[in-house]
Amino acid sequence: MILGIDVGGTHTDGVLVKKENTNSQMVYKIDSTNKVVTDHDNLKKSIIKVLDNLTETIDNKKIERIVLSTTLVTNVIYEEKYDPVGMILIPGPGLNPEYLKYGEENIILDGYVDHRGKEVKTISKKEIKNALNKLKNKGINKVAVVGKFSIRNPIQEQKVKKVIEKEKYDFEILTLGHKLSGNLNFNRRIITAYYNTAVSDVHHDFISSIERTLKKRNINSDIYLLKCDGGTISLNKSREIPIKTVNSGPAASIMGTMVLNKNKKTGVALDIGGTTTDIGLLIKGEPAFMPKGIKINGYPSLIRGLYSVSIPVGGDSEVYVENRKIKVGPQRKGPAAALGGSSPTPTDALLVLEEIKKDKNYSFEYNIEKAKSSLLSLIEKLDNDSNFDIKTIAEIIVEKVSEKIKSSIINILDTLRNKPVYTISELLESPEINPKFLIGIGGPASSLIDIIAKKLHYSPELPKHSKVANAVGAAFSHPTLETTVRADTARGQLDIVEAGIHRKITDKSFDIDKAENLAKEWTLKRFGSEEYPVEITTKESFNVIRNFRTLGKIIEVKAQIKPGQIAALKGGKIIL
Amino acid sequence: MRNVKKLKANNKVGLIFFPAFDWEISPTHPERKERLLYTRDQVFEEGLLDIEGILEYNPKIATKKEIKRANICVPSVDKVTSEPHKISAGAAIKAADLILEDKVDKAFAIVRPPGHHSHRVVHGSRGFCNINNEAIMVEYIRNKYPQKKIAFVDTDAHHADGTQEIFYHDPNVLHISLHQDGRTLFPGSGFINEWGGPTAYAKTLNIPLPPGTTDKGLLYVINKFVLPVLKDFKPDLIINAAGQDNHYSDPLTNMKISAKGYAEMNDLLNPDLAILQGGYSIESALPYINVGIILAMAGLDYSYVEEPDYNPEILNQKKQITNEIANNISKLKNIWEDRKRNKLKEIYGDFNKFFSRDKNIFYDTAGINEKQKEKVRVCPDCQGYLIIDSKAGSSRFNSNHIKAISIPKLVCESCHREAEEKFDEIKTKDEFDQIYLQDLKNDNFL
Repeated sequence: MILGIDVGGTHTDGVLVKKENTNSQMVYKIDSTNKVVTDHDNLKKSIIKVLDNLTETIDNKKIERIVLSTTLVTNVIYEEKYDPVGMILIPGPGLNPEYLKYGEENIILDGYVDHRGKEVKTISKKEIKNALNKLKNKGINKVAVVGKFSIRNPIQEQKVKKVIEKEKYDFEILTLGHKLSGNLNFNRRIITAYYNTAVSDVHHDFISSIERTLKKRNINSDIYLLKCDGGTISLNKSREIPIKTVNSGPAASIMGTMVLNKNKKTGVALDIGGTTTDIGLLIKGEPAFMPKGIKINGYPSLIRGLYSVSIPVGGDSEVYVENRKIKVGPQRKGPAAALGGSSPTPTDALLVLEEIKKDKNYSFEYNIEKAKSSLLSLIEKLDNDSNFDIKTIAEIIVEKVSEKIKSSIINILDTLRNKPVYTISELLESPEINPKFLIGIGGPASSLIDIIAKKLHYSPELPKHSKVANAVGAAFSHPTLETTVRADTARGQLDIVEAGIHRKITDKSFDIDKAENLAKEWTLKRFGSEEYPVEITTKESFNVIRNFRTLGKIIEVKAQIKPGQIAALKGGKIIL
Repeated sequence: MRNVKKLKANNKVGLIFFPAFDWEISPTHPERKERLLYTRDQVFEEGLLDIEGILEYNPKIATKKEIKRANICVPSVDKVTSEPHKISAGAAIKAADLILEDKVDKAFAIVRPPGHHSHRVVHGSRGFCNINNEAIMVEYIRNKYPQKKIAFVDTDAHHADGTQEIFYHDPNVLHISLHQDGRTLFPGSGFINEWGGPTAYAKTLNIPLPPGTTDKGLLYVINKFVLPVLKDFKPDLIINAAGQDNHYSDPLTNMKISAKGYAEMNDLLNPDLAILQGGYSIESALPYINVGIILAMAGLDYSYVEEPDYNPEILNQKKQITNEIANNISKLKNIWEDRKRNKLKEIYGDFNKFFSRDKNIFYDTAGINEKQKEKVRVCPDCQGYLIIDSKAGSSRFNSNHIKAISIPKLVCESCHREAEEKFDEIKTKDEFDQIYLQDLKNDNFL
């Protein structure tokens, strides 16, 4: 059996999936679902509550796999509930380092590694010790060391680490910038290292506590966390770079739509919530990625994540009148009027329209009269000359919401179509992104998806179990990995950042094919099994020529195991 | 991260960064795939593209018509250009669009190949340039806004002979070129006495710099001469043709400019548009100069930009060089101050309706020699039109003889009529392999 649990802003959802082997085909059946209100001060409690509810009647020993998608890391960051972080930066020349001081304490070391990874200026041990002493004296216990071009040569970051270890500076947390990602961008490396350091201890405590609790319940299954790239990572491995589990909510929802949708076309995925709507993109059935890395708390990072844009409009957005015109959002004042809120909301408008259509779909918890009177209260503030009835008001509100979502989708597609490219062939053959369907999950989706799809000329899809789509997404997602192989044969240097490899190469015949093989090999080695295909995502090779002589090559190849559904599913079947 | 202010550019800068990683003249040619690789790495690693207000755009592809407004391609546009050239020119056009549409305050096209050695008539590739990206951009702008006054400041180490010649008779384009003395470097031109034709006297200004000139000399020229001239000319747009081969590490030249000096120059010039030209110290100079230019254009601090091998002693300039530069600048100041005095016959000798020049143009990349006679109609009411007779080829037995009439956008009615009659006249002659009409007024190209 498989358990998927998603901690959301409002609710924590869970699904229990039963596996059966019928006629030599593996059948996955969603056995039960559960939903509780999220306890923000104790996320673990919410998770355990859903877990206990779902496992009430089953033997815990039969649980093979649990996947959790939590807002833990995200919350720690948004609520700034973390200790001060000391940043040790090694920028070398370039941008004024004043622009890069994100830490509560920032110390600049006078080292320099250039774009080829050559150490231009070394750092003395004395300088490092001075920096460390300064942090200690300020009572800083969490430290990140980040150098410009450190992924091309981590020697200076490593030197700081060595001094910390040798001289027994017992910092609680230490993040080294070069371990976070194989991509360039010093500014993002600093931000990512900062947040990784900030959330590490809370994350460690949380997973230890989860492990203890599950042990008590005799659950010995594999336990995973969902990352923001739609892949899972084992609890234990997640300790290495905890920041990768930030923003897993939108990833869970996109992975959920992937499971529920199942077609191989290009489409847009909407998760319409109370306060916000998340827009994701599936290209030929595969989720798209954020081009350079996700934003964390508005700051650009190096963390690879699924493409997701959040816009401030949802079922609970406040509806009000300003200058005799109806406005929707971006604030949320509380729940819908029909649920006892103070202001009218799009949810109220949708309820009223459904009642008029005699479409008794809505659940009984809603008070339709309260919804109606909240809308009527808007009429008096509008232009007296026009004859607005309650239906018109409701339609205007729904139209505004749909229009906002539609124009955001169009903007996103425009941005993606005009994504910068750097080769002539890419410029001439930029692939068109033409979505065919719009799939919606979340409370208000059932009523809105048709309207928005019609505006965009996409076909609307509203999957079953859409209310627990995130938990479904978590339950079925498999691990992901990325490997960057960079070889500078002119310098004789090989870097495989994700595998922690930075070594010399002497193979004069090293070329792009060898780099590709190495990327595949290391992806599999780190993954531990061959269940999923490894694909090459980018590759480039340049000759290094000086004075008309070829000195070597600069090669970069990236490989990945992309997000998708657990292997056993291949040939298997999901019954929703 | 508590209350960290996000870095924001003081000027909105549009960046068209198109390194064309899949194109080269040949694998070991300076214009090879690798040229902007290290620049990309440096720009990406510095995180410049994440700074609020620095916006990245893709180039467009220049159309044939857009190219024909500036260049007469022999025998045809398709024969002398390929996609990379059209994209490079299209990047310049895109940069102009961003400014004209007010999407950004400034735009910088980091593109290759360059364009400033391409003359109006193009028989092939010259100084790694096929078509003149900057001139194509200017004619694109003036096709929409004919009255715009444009100032070029070309800071490539090589004389911008192509651009100079295209606008040699154009009083609305001020073309200033700072370059290593033509006696010591390709293309061997760009002397003080190349000051524009009789309808555009002193609208071409050449500042030859002695080999070994440092930041000191460069900034002296900018402060003492270029800035005052720009102030007098009052251009609507300033374009910096931003060649980067005056760097102290450049393998093809003998100048000693540093990345920080280059950034400071850009800051002083405050150009609306910058377009990359040459620059072949691809690993030791370009990454740093381009970061410096981007920061300067964005109005951000560039004082921390420095090459790995930077040594402050590089700024020391020989006294002899300083004197030579000062001497040139004082001559140029006289020319500029004299620009309104009507003494054309004194300057240009005796001429009647037409002023003519003979040019020998060598295409180093393509190995072509061109002999050209260019006649400009000297008209009191407009800048006149051009009659061009050009013969070019790689040998005496393999040459192409063409004749062309070029009519500017702001031509007067009588010159326009006269030019059309001239074109009808040459149509009847059979001594030319091709004839061309470049009519910017009617936007018509035959």
